[in-house]
Amino acid sequence: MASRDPPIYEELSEPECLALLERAPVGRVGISIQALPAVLPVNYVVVGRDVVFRTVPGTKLDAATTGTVVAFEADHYDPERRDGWSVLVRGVAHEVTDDAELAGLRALPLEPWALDGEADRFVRVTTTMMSGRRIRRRHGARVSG
Amino acid sequence: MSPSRLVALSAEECLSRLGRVHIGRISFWDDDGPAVLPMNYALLEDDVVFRTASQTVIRAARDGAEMAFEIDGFDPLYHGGWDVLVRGRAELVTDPAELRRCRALPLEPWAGPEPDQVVRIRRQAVSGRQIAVTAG
Repeated sequence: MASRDPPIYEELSEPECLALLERAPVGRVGISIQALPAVLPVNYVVVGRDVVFRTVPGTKLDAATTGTVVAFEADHYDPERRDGWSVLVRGVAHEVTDDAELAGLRALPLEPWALDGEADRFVRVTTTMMSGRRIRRRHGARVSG
Repeated sequence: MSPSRLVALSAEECLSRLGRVHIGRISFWDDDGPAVLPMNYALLEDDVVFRTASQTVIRAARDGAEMAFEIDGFDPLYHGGWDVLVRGRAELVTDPAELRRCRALPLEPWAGPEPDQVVRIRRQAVSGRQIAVTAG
């Protein structure tokens, strides 16, 4: 199946990565929980070249995103066209505490994945690395069989 | 915004959802820190298997790295969502019979055109959550 229309891979520039991140509805955070890797989905916004999401205090995600190095990923894949993209961000996660920055973030359309409590925190991932790639097909259309 | 809460999914429900989805994300630590990468996958005896040509992923699997695997679904209209997380130890599939079974699965590598390997995550734990939106 794959050999009939082999995939073409393209590395994405940081502006391309940011443009794709701006329009994906959900991302995933790669963290350590009990010293083992874990992945949890989040709603997020892009601020500059950083990623911001909300967490609920007391949750595993909240505990794992205080001053630690995390990964953030978003992707999209079209099963009909068999093309897609993915972006990986790596950075240090920290709680936003500055009042002015918080006021700005609260004005953004950003909800936590699930608000399982009352209070919540804004976590900003200060980007240290960003990479992305696109996969597409030469014929750009569904290959039957 | 309606109040919502997370409800745990049973292991059976998690495996059922893993059987219906074809793209997930692996996560592991490479030399520079945590990484999350999308993967086309299939199930072999309820374990996640995938093909990859990424040398970083192959090395991690050869070393028996702890790996997480995640799938999720999201409904923007109703703010509904769910996710399933598998955790276990990665290994390269080298047994010829097992390799044949894996190669027969509908797997396509996401990585480049280099020769690929088959990786299996020996499942140690599976958990899942669903957002239950309550009338509010």
